[in-house]
Amino acid sequence: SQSFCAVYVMASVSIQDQKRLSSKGDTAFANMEKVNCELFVMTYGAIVIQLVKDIGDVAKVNTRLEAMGYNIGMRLIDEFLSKAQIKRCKNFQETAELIARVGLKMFLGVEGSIKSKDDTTFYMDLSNNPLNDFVELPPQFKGKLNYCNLLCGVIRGSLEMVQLRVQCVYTKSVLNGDDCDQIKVSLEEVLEDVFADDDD
Amino acid sequence: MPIHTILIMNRSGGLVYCKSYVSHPTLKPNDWIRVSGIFHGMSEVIKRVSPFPNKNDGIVSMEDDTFQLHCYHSLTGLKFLVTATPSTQNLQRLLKEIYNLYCDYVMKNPFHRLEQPIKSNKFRTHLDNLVQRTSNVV
Repeated sequence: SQSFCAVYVMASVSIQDQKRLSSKGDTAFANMEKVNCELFVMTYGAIVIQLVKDIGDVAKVNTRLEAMGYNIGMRLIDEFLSKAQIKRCKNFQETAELIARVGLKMFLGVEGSIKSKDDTTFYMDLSNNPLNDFVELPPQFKGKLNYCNLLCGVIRGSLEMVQLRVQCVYTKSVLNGDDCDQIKVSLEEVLEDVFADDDD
Repeated sequence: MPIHTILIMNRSGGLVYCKSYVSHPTLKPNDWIRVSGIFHGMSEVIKRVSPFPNKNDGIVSMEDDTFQLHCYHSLTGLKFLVTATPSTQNLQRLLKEIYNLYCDYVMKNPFHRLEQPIKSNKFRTHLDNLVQRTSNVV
């Protein structure tokens, strides 16, 4: 899978561009209809608890949360592209900044910050994830339940609809005692429509 | 009516929405499916004709003496297509507004199955109202 790396040129996103994206995120957030934060946070909590009750096994709950997020992401991407008037990204670093500064801001109200590892991987830090408000993980779930795993699915589902197959995992969580939430996104494949004759 | 027909195609060129506001005497309703398939295929080929194939969307507009055609390609592979009288303005803006309606009334409806034909009445009504408003301005 080295061939797709050539499409993305090694580049970082300038401070100027980051500021521009931040203000784009602010505008997009301002234009969205808002809902009561408590209702949102408690609804999410209710979903997680119901899954824990219904499924039991923590690993399976994590998978189910991610799958739910994936279905949301597939539907959310068009909203993001249309309401925030997004243009094509030149490279994966730009995609990362767009997700953190505009996407997250637009839908969660908070901005993430990006630490890029290389052309195909980035870490997104989230210091005040509203989903974590009021939540305390009991000892049997600490380090095991990825409470906000839905977000990983949302990112994966959204990116897949723009032809980027990624893997998305939670690497840090304030609920486990870390200083912030962190999601690692790795680009696995750039999906391309194959143009071939019918008889091939 | 300045707007003739609106088509929406999914990422594989399948027709998910079709509404005509004028009569097309030589086209039967099922013919639009074939029109979409051909347009999609042609648009994909034309993309590769460009010296910068990663930077373009495909066919954006076509015109002749009796009608013009505009297409908005979303980054997710959707195509919003409108045909109208040659003098109609702001068709790209209309298409973006249709995209907004699609995001709201189609994508946010949990019962809508992705890539399948649009069955939403809310979407249909809002779209008709949008077209009506656009026609009144023209």
